[in-house]
Amino acid sequence: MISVRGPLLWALIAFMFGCAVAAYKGIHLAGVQHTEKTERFTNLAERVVSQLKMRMQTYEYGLRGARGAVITAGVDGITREKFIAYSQSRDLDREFPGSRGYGFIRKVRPDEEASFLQAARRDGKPDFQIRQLTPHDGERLVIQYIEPEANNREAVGLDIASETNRRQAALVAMRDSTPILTRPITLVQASGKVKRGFLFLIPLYRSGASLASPESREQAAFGLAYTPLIIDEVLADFDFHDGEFSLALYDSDVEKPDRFYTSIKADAPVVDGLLKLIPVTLYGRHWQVEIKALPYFINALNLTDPREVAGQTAAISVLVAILIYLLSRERQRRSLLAQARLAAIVESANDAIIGTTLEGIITSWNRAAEQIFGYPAEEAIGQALSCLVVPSALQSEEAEILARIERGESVSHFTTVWRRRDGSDIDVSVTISPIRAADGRMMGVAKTVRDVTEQKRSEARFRLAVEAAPTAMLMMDQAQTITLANRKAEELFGYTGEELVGMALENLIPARLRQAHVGGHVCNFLAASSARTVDPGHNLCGLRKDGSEVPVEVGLNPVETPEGNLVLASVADLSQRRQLEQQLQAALERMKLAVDAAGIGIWIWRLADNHLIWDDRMLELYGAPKALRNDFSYDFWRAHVHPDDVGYVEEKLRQHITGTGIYDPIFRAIRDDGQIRWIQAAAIVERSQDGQIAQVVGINRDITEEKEAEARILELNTNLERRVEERTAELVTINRELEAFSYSVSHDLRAPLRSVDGFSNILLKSYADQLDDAGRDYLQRMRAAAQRMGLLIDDLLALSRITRTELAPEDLDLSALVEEVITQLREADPERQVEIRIQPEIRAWGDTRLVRIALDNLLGNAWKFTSKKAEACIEFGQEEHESRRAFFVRDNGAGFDMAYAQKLFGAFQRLHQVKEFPGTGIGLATVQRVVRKHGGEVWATGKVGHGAVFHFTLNR
Amino acid sequence: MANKVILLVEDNPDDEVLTLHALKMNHIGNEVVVARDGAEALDYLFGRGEYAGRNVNELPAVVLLDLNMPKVGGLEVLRQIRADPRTRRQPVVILTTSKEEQDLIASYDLGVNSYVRKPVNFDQFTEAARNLGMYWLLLNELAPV
Repeated sequence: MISVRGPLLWALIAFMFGCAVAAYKGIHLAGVQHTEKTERFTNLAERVVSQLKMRMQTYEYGLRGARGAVITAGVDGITREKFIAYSQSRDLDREFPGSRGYGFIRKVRPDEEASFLQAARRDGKPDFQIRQLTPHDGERLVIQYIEPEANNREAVGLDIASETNRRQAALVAMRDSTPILTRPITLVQASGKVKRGFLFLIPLYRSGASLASPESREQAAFGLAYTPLIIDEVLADFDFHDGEFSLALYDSDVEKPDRFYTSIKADAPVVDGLLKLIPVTLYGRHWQVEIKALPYFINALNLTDPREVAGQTAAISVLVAILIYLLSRERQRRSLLAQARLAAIVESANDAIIGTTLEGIITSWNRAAEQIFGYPAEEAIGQALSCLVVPSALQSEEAEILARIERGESVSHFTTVWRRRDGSDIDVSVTISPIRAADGRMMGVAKTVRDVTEQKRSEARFRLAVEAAPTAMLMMDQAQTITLANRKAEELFGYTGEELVGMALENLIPARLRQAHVGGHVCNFLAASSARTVDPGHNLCGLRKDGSEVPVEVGLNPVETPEGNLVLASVADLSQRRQLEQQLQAALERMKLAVDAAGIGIWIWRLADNHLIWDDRMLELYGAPKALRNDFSYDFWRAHVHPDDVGYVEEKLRQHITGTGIYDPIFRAIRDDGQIRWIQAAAIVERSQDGQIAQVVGINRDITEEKEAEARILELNTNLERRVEERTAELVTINRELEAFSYSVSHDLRAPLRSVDGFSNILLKSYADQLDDAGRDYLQRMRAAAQRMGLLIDDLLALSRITRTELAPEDLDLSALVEEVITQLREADPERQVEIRIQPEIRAWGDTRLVRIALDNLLGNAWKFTSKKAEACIEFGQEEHESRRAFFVRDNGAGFDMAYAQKLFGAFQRLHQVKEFPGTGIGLATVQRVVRKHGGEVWATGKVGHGAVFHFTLNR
Repeated sequence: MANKVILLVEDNPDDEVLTLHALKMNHIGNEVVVARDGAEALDYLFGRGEYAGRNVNELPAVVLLDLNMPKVGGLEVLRQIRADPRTRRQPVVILTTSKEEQDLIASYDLGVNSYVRKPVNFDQFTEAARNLGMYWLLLNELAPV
């Protein structure tokens, strides 16, 4: 739309303007005609001067390029070949129309002339000569190279210092470090154009030399870059507006300005006084530009009769408008279309597109740039890019890149950090492309800037994920160089991350595997580029920094990145798994050892064909020849099971297979040699993948010896029981006899005693007068002996009764029992003053009657043996004794000698005279019997004159 | 009561003499009939054998019965005394050497009136005899026949 409307619009405007002008002119023409002419002419003149200046400027760029080429090569490094190569890289006709070419002028001191000539001749120009226009002794400024040489052959070897104009200009250029034009001269290569030529010069300095003063600069200069110009050629394509004006140029540095250029009709008379003389300062020269309007200019202004002007102008306007439209439509349409498209692309691009001059001044700034950096276009344009967005720390980098571009080097793209308006940093990827003018000259650069913050963040996230991975991860590029390694990889291989990154993958592979590994897997993978595991089950090994190897499993994954396709390898450490496998193997071997040692035979029964497989031990158990080994059937085994057991064993087997029972029978096997062996068996069912029972695997163990031993034990036990029964019967008999004995003792032994005592008594009472004192004493002794024997019999009976009594244990309150006994003792002997101490609440498990008898004896003894103490004390209590609860009866009576402690508990054992302390010597035997009957023990401690302690326990 | 007999059943002649002596020492003047074993005692009580024709309604004031005797033992004598309606209220005192529990229990189970163990010490025996006489001959009232 725009492209069509543009020319049309302009045509309409022109037409309307024409009409308006026509109308205006019709009324006011006369008054304004002069002003109009003058103004338009002034404008014209200014445009002409500007055009001229611009043209000369282009040559300056050319000079700088040539200078750059020489500087790049260096004062001693520049060769003809290099200079030609540079020259050929430029399109001189297009880039610098009017220039004859660019050259290098070398400063040669007279004493260096010979060596210079030698060098110049060696430098691809064997006939090189120095030519002087006027001989002189000063430093020579020799045109060494001028390309293309074809147009300038005469100039090669010319010492421009040999001519005043040229030398002065060169001197000024060197001293002022500025591009300089000579006065109009006659070029040697265009001698026909008298004083219509120039040299345009720019100095070259040695690098590192001081350039502080004009003198030092002159010293530092080693030559000049130059271009020879012919003014006619310079202005050959100058736009003279179809002859609206003529042009003449004067060099005005001399008293009489020297006209060195005239265009066509430059000497025609001045029209309407429309002449302009404009001074122009141009590269050290002061020119005067003389512009004269030609009649065509006036005609073009259409300043004819004002009355006709309106109509004519209108008509012309129509024509002009149509003409404008027709002429410009196509061109403008095309250019506007392209521009609009370009502008649309630039404006809508997601990437910031920034145009700058070669000096880095921003000339364009698209919307994305506004968004990314926060500067509106109005603010950005005109500023130096480096000042605006490049952080100060990276200024030098930016400067270097600019310098590289200026030197003509290629800088494709790079990643760096720039700064937003708000001061925050942003990761950017910058692509640089040169902007060239229509004529191909580089006018600046376009930078396409992409915000890669998100990309960087993704990369960071990816790195984090890799870092956190539980296995070692390595990233490799196409050259199999490691570009990334996580901490696990560091641990696995023993290298630091810095060591790993940049390392070739093959350094992590043992030498013997390298060929297959690097050559094979990874290359194949890079070709196939899909995730997979490298040779699972194969013995891949990694090589550690310390030279040891580690078994690994490797998985490869392709990763597409802007830098190209990479491979991410995850490396799992298999050493632990290998170790487990070894342990399993060892366990299996140990089990085999155990199976062998235990004499266990293993069998496998394949249900499909009823086939039976036996190991050597099975063959031994059943006494089967080894030759049969693999030739068994189920029936072979069945035939060797004892007929009495076969039913039970088969039922067990059936239950096991159907899952209703467990196969664990013990049965008898009959060997071919007739021996019967006892077998203990067990089995497990093995199923195929579809869950069907495939086979039964089981064991047989020979337990014949165990069985025999068991039988022997059984027999022994039976014998033992019989013997026990016999003994018990004997004991019962003995007991019965003992009872009878006790009974008769009770009756039959006492009766005679009674007779002895009774008749002795009668004699003493009724026949006393017939006996003397001795007789009576003897009778008394008989009575005492008889009575004593009566006591002995009673005690013996009591003792035997304890033995015979069945124990009827119950919970006893020992403290209460003791209390009762003491009460009885006090009643029997009320005069005695005895201190009694009884620990309360002492309980025990025992037979009340028997324990009471024991306590009667112990307390009775204590009572008896303290009878001679003034302050008698009897104590009953309990205490821990060797982790058992022991009861005790303590007294402070006569005590005993510990030497006889063992004798205390024997029947009829006495440690005291009967006269001193009466007693039968059976009491403590009775106590011991009671205590032992309860499973307890009794013991005594004491000291003569210091009392005794009797401890006893009950219920062990 | 003073004219009633005392039946002493005792197989040991020494004990017989001593018992009689002890009774005499305590001035017990009742007639003492001595049976030398259980059978003889029963003959006396039921008017049989040697004592056939004796008026069995004249029961002794007390029977002093030993346990351990040949032929018919003391317990059997006691059993038959208690079993017979004529003699079942007859006071019977066991006078024996035995202190065996089983004898004591059996005696009381069979309905003995008293159980006295003969002490070896004759002084004690005499004392026991005196007590027995005092009790059974003077204090105790017999059941009416």
